[in-house]
Amino acid sequence: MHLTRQVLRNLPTPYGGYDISWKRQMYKRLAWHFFGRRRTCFRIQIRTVERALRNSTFSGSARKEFFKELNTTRLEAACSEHGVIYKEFLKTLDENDVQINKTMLEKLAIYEPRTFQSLCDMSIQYQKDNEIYTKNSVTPYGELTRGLQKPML
Amino acid sequence: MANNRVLQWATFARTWWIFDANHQCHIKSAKRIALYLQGKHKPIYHPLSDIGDHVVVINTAGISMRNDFWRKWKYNHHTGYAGGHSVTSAWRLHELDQTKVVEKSVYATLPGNLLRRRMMRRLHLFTDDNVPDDILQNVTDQIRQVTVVPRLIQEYTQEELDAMPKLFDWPDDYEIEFKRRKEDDEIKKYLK
Repeated sequence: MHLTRQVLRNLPTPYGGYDISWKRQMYKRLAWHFFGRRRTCFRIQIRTVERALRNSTFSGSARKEFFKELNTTRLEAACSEHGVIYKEFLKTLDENDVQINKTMLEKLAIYEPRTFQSLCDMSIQYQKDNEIYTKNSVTPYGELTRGLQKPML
Repeated sequence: MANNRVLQWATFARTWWIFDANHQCHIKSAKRIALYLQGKHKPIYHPLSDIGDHVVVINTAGISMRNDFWRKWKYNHHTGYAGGHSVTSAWRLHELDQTKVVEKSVYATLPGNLLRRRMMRRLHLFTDDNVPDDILQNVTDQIRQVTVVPRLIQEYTQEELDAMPKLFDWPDDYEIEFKRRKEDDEIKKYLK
């Protein structure tokens, strides 16, 4: 491209309008990873680039939702191992001023299970003292089912 | 610690669970079984990592359904060709294969991704208590049942029945037990 065109890019051209090749350069930069005529032809390129820019805004909220769900499923599993309901567990932590984040609780459950177990025992003891303890529907490990006709173990 | 390397082996190990499906709702129990097949009962769960466990389901012949869902619940199938649509009611499917209803409901509750067939291969279904020893020796723990198994009216003693408060007595010809209608030629043509 000619060097003087860089100076004259926003000036009006003799045939009306201004030089649009710079604007097209911008879209071409964003469309380098497309295939076929979506990369080469401008009129098809601009549609796909604008749609891609629109779609890229969804990922911000979607990623947050995904990790939030993953966090709850992991913590529910970790609580049910020790026979605590997840919501009651969070309430007891809040009432006893244990200021640990949910993400940190998740990391404790995975990498320091004994620490997490002690937190669960604490919440069970607190619930028993205040007479609000209800057993979790999911069985803790090593507990026999009531209805099993022929105990296997 | 020298055994730090070994401590995680138990975390990633595949454990075996047993579930008694006697007098259990097949939909509610499928929801619970699907948790264990996906590995959602572990704190290391991730949807892309294959960390599900094995589940052995016994007494699938004795599953229960609400109201008259045995008659009303339908299973559709289409071969893909014209006129290839067929509808089977639940009681009919249960007669043909007594593990099929549980298998279908578990398959429906699992997420529709590429791991589904692999998770279904870890589900072992048996119609009764008789499980082969090579499967039963792996089992380490039980899954809690969905509902409490009800007592049949035949299991109550006469003293308990007399102590029960009653408003009226049933007539002598009233049948409490469920009996199926005898198959005659009119019913048989609908079965085909």
